Amino acid sequence: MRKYTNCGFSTIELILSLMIFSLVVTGFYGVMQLSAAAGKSSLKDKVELQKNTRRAQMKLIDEISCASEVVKPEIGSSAPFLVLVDKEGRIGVYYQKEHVYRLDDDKTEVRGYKLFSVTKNPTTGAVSQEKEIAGNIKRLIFTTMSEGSVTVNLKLFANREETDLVTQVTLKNYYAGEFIH
Amino acid sequence: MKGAVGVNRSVNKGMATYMVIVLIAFVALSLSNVTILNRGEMGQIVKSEALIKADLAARALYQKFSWRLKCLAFEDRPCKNSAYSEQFDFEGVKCELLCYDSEDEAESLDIWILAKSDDASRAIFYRVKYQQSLVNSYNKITPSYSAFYNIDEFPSNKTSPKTPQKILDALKNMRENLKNKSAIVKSLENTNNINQILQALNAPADPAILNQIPKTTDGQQRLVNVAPPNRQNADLLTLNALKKTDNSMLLANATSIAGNAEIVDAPPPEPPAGGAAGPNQPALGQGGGGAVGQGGGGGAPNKPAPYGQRVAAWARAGIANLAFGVKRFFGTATDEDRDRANSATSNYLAVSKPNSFSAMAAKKYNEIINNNYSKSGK
Repeated sequence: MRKYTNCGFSTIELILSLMIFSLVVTGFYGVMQLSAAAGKSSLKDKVELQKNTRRAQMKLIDEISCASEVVKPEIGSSAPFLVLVDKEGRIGVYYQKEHVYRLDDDKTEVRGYKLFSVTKNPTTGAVSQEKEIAGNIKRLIFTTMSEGSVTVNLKLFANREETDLVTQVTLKNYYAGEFIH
Repeated sequence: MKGAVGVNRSVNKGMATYMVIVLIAFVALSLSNVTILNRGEMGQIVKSEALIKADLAARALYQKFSWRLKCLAFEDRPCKNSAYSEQFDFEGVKCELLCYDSEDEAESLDIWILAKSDDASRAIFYRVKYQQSLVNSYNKITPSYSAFYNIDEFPSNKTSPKTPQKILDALKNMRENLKNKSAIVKSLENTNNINQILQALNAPADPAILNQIPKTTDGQQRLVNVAPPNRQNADLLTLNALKKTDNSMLLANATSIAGNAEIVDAPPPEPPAGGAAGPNQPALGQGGGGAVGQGGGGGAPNKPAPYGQRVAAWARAGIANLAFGVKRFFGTATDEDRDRANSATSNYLAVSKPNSFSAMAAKKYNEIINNNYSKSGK
């Protein structure tokens, strides 16, 4: 006669263990979702900030590098604004205005700046409309290093994240005026 | 009885299968979450680095070509009878150069450079003028106009290309405006107040416009150096002393803008510490510890490499060390394997974030395997 051994699990034990296991997994998944969500919002801010910083950097490089002459600040000086003669010979002014930003939590307000520009055509005398170049600026300083180069020291922010950037821009059209008499 | 035992076995197998499925699903969900979170960041960083690479390659190609033009007389220029077109490959960036005589100016060439790097592309237009120089061995080739344009504006007709009308109009406006700007620019020389500057230009002035550099609480003033960095100083002296007449000024400038990453990308050296100053004074201040320069790739010393490069170096170091470890375990490791693992580890440490966990772990693992290998004498 075959001996009956008491091994294996009963149905009730299996069902109970499956239920407990499912609860544990669900709890674990919930904790993981929470931490991912918290990380996601901070990561999202970082990604957004990096994107905006690179966009602002490329825009500033594109605009400033095509200029032919820096009028202000003088060589060796720094200023929060920039006056230059652009590639088409127009006089461009880049300046900042204060702006109050509201963070995502809708309660905190942060003081920042926005960068604007206007250009004047010296031939027709026409002055363009004010144009916004960049926002979310914590601090922006232009320094004229030499006759043909400007350093831009830029600090941007997005919610609680901040990033710093120092860019040296060489004027491509520095010699444009050489042939004009 | 047999049937009851058989049922128990199949139920146990079912539960194990269920657990394996759940575990696999859990791991897959975690990985997909992390991948989705990071995907946008990588794509964006890769794209902007490709753009900067394309920009640098285009500028380097311009410098190379303008050197060639310097060494040839105007009558021997490559585009004398027909437009000149050539393709180049700079470190994976595919460049195309197109050069032809300007239609509205004498002794002047129009150069288009199209640079394509991965998904990013840059199209730059240059107008260069020939000038006679006191030193007759070389011409003086000077860009009188350069600008970025859309790649669609790159002329499609390579045999008889035409400069787009909007560029010709811009050039005409430029000549007019540069003649007329002097009076206005002179009137701005005596003021450093932004509102007065805007008023002098008849632009709307606003008291809310920032006139002074704002002080920050983080203690970093990020102000100007007392004097420009040495390299710029040398350029400045050369420019001022030899302006408009000497090729050495052009040589110095060409060197500095020829994609020389050390000058363009590096932040100015740390000046002596000092107080803050207004925008008009040559100021003393702590220099900025910046990140990215114009080239995009360089920056402050000891800055870790881009994320993609670090991951690739980490993977290479991991594979080399693992292979060395496994071979050592089976006793088949050679000195070549050891050198390969050591070199991959040191390459990773050179680009990794200093004191990061993965850098320390890689270094430790490499040390352990090396000790083990040298102890065994094999």
